Amino acid sequence: MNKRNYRSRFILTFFLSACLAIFVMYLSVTNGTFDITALEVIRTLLGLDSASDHTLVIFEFRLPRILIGAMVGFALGIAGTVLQGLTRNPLADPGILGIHAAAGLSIVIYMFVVKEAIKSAGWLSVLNMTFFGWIGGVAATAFLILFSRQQGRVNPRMLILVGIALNSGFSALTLYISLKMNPQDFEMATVWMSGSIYSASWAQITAILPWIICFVPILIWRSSILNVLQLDEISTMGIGVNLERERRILLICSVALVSASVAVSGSIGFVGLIAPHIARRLVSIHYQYSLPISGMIGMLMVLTGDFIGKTIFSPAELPAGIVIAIIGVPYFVYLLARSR
Amino acid sequence: MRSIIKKYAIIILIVLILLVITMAVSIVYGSKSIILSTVWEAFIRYDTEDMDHLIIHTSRLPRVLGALLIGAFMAVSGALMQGMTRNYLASPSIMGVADGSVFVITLCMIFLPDAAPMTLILYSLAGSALGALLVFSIARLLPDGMTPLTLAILGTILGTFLNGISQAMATYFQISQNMSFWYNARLHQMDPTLIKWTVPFAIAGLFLAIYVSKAITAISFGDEVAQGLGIKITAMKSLTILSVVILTGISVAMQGKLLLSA
Repeated sequence: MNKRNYRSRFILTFFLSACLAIFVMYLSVTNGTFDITALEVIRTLLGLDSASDHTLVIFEFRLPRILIGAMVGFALGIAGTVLQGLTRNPLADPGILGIHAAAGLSIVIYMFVVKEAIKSAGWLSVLNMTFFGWIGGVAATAFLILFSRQQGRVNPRMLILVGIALNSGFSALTLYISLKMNPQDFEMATVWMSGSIYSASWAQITAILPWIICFVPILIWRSSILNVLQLDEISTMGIGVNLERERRILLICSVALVSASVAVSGSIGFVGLIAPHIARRLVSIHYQYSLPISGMIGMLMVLTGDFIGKTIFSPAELPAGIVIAIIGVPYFVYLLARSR
Repeated sequence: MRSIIKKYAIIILIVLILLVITMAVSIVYGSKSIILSTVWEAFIRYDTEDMDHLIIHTSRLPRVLGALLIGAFMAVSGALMQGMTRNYLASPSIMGVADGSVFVITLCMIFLPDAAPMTLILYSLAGSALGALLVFSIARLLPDGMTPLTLAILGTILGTFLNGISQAMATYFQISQNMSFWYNARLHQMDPTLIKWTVPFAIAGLFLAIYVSKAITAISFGDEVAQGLGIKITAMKSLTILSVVILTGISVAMQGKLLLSA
């Protein structure tokens, strides 16, 4: 295949996944506790429908939830691809590596210290939460690299194991702190941590949006460097890439995306693991193509997971994170079987 | 050899002394401090009218005993597992044992809602065995799946999987609350009858553990070495797994999901 071919394939895949995403969004906006027809949805969106319950349901409940799901999925898909490329490890996933747990911990600490944060949930406090999550995520990555280094090299499987250990450590600390909260805050914190998006609000959308607008373009712009990073270190330096600097930039950007999504939706695992693999299958290994596609696949996964979680289990709801974990684990085992 | 036995005796003695001290401290202190003489009295002249005696007999003592047994069981099964798999990372808590139990208990609560608590404990045992079996059989199928790292990863990931399915089923059939009650209200309200009930299992499990311990020493040097020494490897490994499942299974049944000490 030549370059042109890859390009047309990329455009086609992007288009198809966008269509699918829109279809799932349509399903989730029309189905729910009570069904709304497509025409009513359009009328409500355009402000022509005067029925106040439609406006309420769509604008306050369904639309924020769909948008959050789409953005979180997109961010996780992109961050997962970058992390897998950086670590040259097909098993890397921000959830398994403990970045989710670390971001969660620092957000819970923030919630505990600034108690009004959860009650008012104004956009400023949500923005603060994402920032705290970022600090936690960066700290976790530093630990991760520090502990998994053996003789100057990062052993891929060791990385996963250190991640799992960090994960349970941070989760235990989070549990400890959240048990010290008063019962009401505790309930909110647990709902948030389980990886659900049913408490989505416009405030959260304004909190995650700047992170996506800032960091996604940077990552896409630098995606060609990820291609180079797949070579061994000596050839990379030969090409004239400042290895450490590029790595650090990519790492900080991707952790920022992960933390922002953890701050709004809790820990939704396995998206960052699976989306990159599917994307690579669909459009070659070239990161400038697979990166955006991976974002689209992540978006589709979270939207579908959330849709399944809320329809099959109604009236109760299953967090999207759990639905995706059930689907994701067999795939992870499959990857483990293939990797050497 | 002589010096090893001497060392062994000294260590056992020290540990026993420490054990008695911790138990005493744990019985004496609590939301209501009880002086030592009252504790002593509660043992030699149990008075059902005395509030302090009641607290000791129904709450503190079962709790201490339960913690003691669980700790011992988990440590013994951890040692067996590490020896058998020659894997320094092996531990029942990361081998799907607890999650298997959660999975089967969830099934029970859905399909056998009237099961007696004791039946549930039996099912919890079966679930632990199932979880361990799942992890080990998948590990066997994978290329270098039995290496320490891969096994640890697999155990954790499959645990997440079983947990996710249990949670999904619990949500679907709306029994989440029963589940969390069964698992979370444990160590602090250890049921004395439950402890009594686990005794036969504990004896069987520990007896098996001691019985296989010599063979495990040989196996930990490698299967060929053990074979050369005339040890029936398959039989011994099966007995070891049985012992591990019994010990961890009753621990899970006694205390829920807090499996840390191994």
